[in-house]
Amino acid sequence: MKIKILYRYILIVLSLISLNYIEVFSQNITISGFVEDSQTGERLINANIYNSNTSKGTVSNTYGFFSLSFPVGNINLTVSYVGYEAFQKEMTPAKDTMIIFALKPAFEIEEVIVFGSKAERILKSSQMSLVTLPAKNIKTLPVLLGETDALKTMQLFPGIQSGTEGSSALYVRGGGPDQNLILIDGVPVYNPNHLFGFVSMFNTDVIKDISIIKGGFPARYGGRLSSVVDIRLKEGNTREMKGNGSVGLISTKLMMEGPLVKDKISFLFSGRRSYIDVLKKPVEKFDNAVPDYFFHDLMGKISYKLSGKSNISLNYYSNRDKGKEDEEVKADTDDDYSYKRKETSDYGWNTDILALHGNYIVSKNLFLHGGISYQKYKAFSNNNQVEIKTDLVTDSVEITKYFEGYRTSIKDVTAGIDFDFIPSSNHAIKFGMNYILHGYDPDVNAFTVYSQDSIIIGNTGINRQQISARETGLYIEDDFSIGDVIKSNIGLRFSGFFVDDQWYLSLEPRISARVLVSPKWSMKVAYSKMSQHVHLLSSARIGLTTDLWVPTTSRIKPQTSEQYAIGIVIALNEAVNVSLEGYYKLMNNLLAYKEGASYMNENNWENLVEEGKGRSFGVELLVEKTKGKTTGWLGYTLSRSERQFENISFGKVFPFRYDRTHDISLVIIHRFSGKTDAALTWVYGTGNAVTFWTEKFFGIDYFEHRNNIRMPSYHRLDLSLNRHKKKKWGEQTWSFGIYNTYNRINPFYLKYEYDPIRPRIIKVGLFPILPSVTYSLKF
Amino acid sequence: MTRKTVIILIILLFTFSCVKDVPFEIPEAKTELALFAENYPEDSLEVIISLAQTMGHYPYYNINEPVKISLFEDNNLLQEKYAKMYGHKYIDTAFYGITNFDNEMLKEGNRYQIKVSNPGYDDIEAETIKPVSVKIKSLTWKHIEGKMPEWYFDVYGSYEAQNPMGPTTEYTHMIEFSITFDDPPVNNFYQCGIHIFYDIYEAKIGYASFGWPDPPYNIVSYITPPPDYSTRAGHANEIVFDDKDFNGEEKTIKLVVPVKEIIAFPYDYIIKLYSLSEDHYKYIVSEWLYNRSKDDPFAEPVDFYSNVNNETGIFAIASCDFDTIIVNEK
Repeated sequence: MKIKILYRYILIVLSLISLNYIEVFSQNITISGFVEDSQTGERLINANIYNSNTSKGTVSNTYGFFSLSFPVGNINLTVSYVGYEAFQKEMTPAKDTMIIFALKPAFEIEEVIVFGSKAERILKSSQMSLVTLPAKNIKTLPVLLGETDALKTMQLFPGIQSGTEGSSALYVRGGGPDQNLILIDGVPVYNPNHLFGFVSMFNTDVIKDISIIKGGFPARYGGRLSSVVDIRLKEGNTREMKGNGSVGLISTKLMMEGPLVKDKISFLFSGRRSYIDVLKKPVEKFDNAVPDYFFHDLMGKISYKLSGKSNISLNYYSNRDKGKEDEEVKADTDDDYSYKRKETSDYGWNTDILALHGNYIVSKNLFLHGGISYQKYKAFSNNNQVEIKTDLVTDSVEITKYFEGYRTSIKDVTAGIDFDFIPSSNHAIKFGMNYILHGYDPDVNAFTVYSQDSIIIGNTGINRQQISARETGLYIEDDFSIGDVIKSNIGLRFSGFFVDDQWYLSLEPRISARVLVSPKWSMKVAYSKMSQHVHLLSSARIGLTTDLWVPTTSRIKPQTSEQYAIGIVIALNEAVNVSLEGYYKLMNNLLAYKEGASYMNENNWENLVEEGKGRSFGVELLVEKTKGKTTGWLGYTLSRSERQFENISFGKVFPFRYDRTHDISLVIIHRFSGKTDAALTWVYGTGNAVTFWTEKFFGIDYFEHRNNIRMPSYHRLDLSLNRHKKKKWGEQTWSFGIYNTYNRINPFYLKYEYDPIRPRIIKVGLFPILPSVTYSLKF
Repeated sequence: MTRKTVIILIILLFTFSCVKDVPFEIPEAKTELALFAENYPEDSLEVIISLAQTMGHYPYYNINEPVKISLFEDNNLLQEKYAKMYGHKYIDTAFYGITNFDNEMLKEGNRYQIKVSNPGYDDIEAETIKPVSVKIKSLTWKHIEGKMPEWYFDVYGSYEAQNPMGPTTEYTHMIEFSITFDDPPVNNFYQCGIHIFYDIYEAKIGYASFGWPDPPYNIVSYITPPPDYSTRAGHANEIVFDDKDFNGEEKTIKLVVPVKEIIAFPYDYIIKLYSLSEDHYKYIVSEWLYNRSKDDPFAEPVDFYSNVNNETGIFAIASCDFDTIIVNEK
């Protein structure tokens, strides 16, 4: 039955793809090439190339490549990109031509609205549930402690939520943070956070383009259920040496880029380091409460334009978070003994990525990209306790050491090849495959007890499960138009995962379609099936370093989801667009710890987990103004996200911890002049659902079901002011920010407090009003 | 114009946003009656009434008027009793009252309802079934001795202080019992216990299962001492399991009892196979999980099962079949 359905699906796809193919065989001229920045040589993603004589256009791909075909004759070509001056040229090419369009940045002028306005692009694209964000907006918005953050900016769009206060983890349409495919230059990363999630690891100075897809996933993406966050980093300036840097409250960063061989080879280097540990040094003698903590990230990239047709780049990315806390407690001495306890804990996580990418224009309408990468991710958390008991009579000493450790380690070797085939102006076909060799090593709960003379008296729960797995994906998709009204992207992805001598295979159809009802509004629908072979095991308690990444195994099935979405996009005018989307998502084989699960009693994680299902649905509204001195957006999400596990709360359906009925974001950015801009963000969200007892009887704490209590709602106002000043050597910027301007104590967690009159529940907040100042310079 | 609009908007937002911190609103809840009535055939049906503390209230209120407890069989009133609430705290949470019903009137296969009323509180109700007991088909034993496997040292009875047959050492003896029964082709829930007569008292003894069922909700393996108030009945020190893996089939379970040495004189071992209702089974499992993890700050929360309509407590009646076997050196 499934084979029949698949057969029909393939038949429909082939029929649709074959439509309008007559153009391929007719007498056509093709113009292909790249679109780039005239000053830096950076290739521009999603630039518009439009022939007004035929009313046909295309957009450049991730590597700036485009290919546009049209009948022989005169053409009027416009190349445009948001924030750049449009390039317009009339010509009559006699044969296939390759051109590099170099666009000039449009400083201090209104964005040029041709085909390429954001509103129009969203209106005409078949892709729905897509959020794109210009890097300059990320730098303008107010942020926690002055650390600009791409992921936190993403949280201000509907359907994308933050988890807890200050966290940059993304919860997209009711999914978990492990369900986001976060790509740095096409390489998936596992933990994109610094500082327990308060800062993301992406240095905004090196980001060229960032987009997030929440639904209607194209077939080229796979391996996660809820979103695709595609972050493209700069290649490096091929024309001149440039740099920028900043000094903030918690970190300093520097970025340098320039040509090694002009217009041929460029380099880009960036680094960032926090200095909580350095600032702590002078006061640690008096107060040891602040942990010895630091993070840093390094990024290096060398890009080589081999010829007009090919490029290669070598990337290295590294980040580190490391913390250490020491606590020494001298307990009371009784008549016979004295007791002393020392506790040391250290924790951290790091990611190292080495990647080699290359692309090549095979022919006027065939573009090839290939890449190979190695990634190592490691997180650990160790707790050491030493208890010294001294017999005051005999002076004998008994030492007990206690150790508890969590470690999760992943090593991935990835290889992939992708093709862009543009046979006509009505079709853009992408196909390719990728292969990942995974090595997982979740190591849980090692604790050992020693006693006098270092004799081991207990050694429990050491568990090292090294699991290797192979993951592969094959895909084909066609983004095609039927006339001017209908545009669709139909694709199919085949994914396979080999682990414990068995294959998990899945076929994932992806369909999205747009109907241009009028020049001002379009309707979109999408369906996508996704599978995910890696799970993040998170405890209900707080503690990022104890999260474990675990793979699908012979006992643990892959997560799967199906998502349906429908929406409309209305371009009210050249500057304002409105989109309204509804979605319904079903998730299966979600993983959660069983009730009462603890590594104190069991050391095999597979025995502690349980599979269940989830459902989320909602409506998202986005009103966006992208042009003029005042820009910004208003986002509103009405949603629900639920979970159900057979043996958690006796099979009852319960709300997802981050289920948020209402979520509102208001962002206003105003540029007063070329020298000053200011921004305001206000967020409101229904409180998180937490598990808290509601009744006590016979010594039992009772709650109705998991996540039974709603914390108070969350709201916060942040402000920022940026003052730019041109200097001989470049530009300096002073950024002033206020986080949580009206000092709302938003609850981080709830705790029970004994009171002789009446039991009280206390909400504990994390961040009060926090001003920040950052100095940055561009040279 | 635009600048003015922005400034006005900022001022407005500021003004309306500057609300004072909203205190956490505790969900509205009043003190409620709580019921604990777990019955095994060895004992009368003991009904304990208490009060449940809610988030906003302590349960330190005495109920002056006795609490009325009505027991129904298939919705027909069997008996009514009154429990006087004692003027001190029970399990450090609330006042309590106890009354007992004769268990002779509780018939296997029948449904029973209980209703607790007091003018100051909402009535609470619960319903359960007394399951039909499953007969032990055969019972055998054998003696094992030698170096014990690792799991053995987690066995409750391997500790001298808690085992009248102890102490045991690494090289020790065990008695293995094989209990066979036919599982009826409906969902069944079981509890199994091994008792001996120790002097003149019937007492439970520690034992372990051979890694079955998995997971074994085997309280014995986890060294959970039985509560003081239960030495011969109750579910402490017993193995509890369902028939998911052998529904409608013949089943043999093997249980081992650690002993100091093989006994030189005959001992009467009473093997008890209890049949539980589903409510009862869920309650025991959640209690086991709860007790195991309540002092562990790293453990996931446990949802405690209740079949009382206000979800505060349990009403459950078990049935039992037993067989006695004499173990001696030969």
